[in-house]
Amino acid sequence: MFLDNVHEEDQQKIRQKIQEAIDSQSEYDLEFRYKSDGGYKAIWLKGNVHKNDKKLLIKGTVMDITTRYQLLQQLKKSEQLYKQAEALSHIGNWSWELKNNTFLLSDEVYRIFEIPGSPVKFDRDDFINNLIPSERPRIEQIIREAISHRRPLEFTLKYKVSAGVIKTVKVLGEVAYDEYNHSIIIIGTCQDISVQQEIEHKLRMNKAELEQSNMSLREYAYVASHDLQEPLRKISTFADRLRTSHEAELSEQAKSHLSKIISSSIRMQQMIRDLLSVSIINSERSFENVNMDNLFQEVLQHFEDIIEHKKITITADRLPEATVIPSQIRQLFQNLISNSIKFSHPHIPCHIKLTTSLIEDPGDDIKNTIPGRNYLKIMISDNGIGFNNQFAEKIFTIFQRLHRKQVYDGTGIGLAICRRIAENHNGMIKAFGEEGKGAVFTIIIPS
Amino acid sequence: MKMNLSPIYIADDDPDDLSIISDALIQKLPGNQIREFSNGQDLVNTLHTLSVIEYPALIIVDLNMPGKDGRATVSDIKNQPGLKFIPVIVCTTSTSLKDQISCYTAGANCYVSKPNSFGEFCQLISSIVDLWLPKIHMS
Repeated sequence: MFLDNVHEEDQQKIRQKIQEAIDSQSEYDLEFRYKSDGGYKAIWLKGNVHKNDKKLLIKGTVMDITTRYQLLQQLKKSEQLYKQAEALSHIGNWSWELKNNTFLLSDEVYRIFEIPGSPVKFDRDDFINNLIPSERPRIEQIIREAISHRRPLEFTLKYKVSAGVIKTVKVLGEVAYDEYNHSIIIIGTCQDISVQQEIEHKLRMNKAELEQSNMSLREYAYVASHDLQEPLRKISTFADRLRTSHEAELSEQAKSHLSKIISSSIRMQQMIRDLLSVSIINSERSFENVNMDNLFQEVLQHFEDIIEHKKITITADRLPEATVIPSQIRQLFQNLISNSIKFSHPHIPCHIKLTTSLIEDPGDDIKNTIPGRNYLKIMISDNGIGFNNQFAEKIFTIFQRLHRKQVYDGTGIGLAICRRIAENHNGMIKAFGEEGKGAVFTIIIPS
Repeated sequence: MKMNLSPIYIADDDPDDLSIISDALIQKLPGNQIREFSNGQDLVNTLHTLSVIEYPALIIVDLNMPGKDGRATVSDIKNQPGLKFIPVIVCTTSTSLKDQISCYTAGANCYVSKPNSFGEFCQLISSIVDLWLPKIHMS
């Protein structure tokens, strides 16, 4: 009858324990679950068995421990959760009782310091002994000062977990004092930051490598600017000397060949200088908040004479303020306006138009858009000779030209520089052309 | 009539440039004595052996030379009370503003870039001579 109401899993236990008590005529102490109101109550049964006049007497007390049982279950659960959280965050908890010099360590601390099996006695001396010897005085000093100055404890330490394996651990702690102002316990956390340290170290190494490679690049640029130009200058100078000093003896054809040698070497010098100007553009990155309209007006002033002379019409929207590299944006405008003037139609008066708008989403035009940033779209269009739109991308390549240099001069660096400038601003530039009708250049940069 | 009694000194590690500058000088000042040095140190050492009347009227130095470069040569000359009045022209391939500033700071009288043709070289040397040698014109 009684056993029918006991939880199935506990029935066998009760039978066994009671039988044991009877056999040995001793005490019994058991807990079990008992059916009640559709659920179970936790019951604690404690008593003893003894023989009296050959009669077996079982005495005992019964106590309803449901509330205590539930609390215990909750405690176990929260402790489990806490252990899980600790394992996930890899932050260990420790306390150090100063009076008896013992450590109370959470599981994670054992994992971090790789202390074998948690029941091992572990005290201050064990801890100090495993520190890297050079670290000992420093850490002892920090702990002493934290106690005497009532300061929070914070330090990183190098700890030898096993032969050849050293971990970097960050330790935080707080000293607690009793009513007589004696420090009694330090409670804190510790975290294995070896991996972070390693990543940081790698990052620092990469940064140093990058700086080194940038320096080599600058050196390379210097070599290009001086040493590579030297022989070219010699070629043009001596060809020129040959032409002038032997003018009478040289045939017209020989003189023309010499002229070609001179103009080619001068052209190559120009190309080297242009190449350098691209590398300089990449190295200069000082952003300022400026009025873009002022920059554009400065560029127009630069072309004042030619605008008047060629009767060029310029219509432009007012440009807003933006955070840009002023010298580069000025150069961008200058290159585009100069292009429009250079490739203007021989019979139609040149008209250059600048329009601008703020856009929220540049769409596919920019790969890595900055969330929450608005973009400034600037379009510069002209009614010049234009170009076949199949070359719309090609024209941004260094030294790419669509015309023979005899017809339009230049090395083909202007638009390549424009693209670098747009990219330096985390933006883009693209072109659209129609032969005989004109060209449109679209620039999109974060506003 | 023009008489140039004092010689002109040139220091350049490039023998081609030495001959180009010399030839341009000869065109401008036929018969004038020219002394060529392949580095700044030799030029400065020679200056120290001279008596005042033997001083050159003009010194043209390249900037990038092994050993004592143009800037250090200028600095040496301009720090000598007896020599500092001699005009020193830096003639170089470098067009960098940094180099220009450092040469002028060292006391260079003029900083010019080497041109790309002999014709331009002659024009440049002619201008330098006209500007820096007027004091020995004799009538």
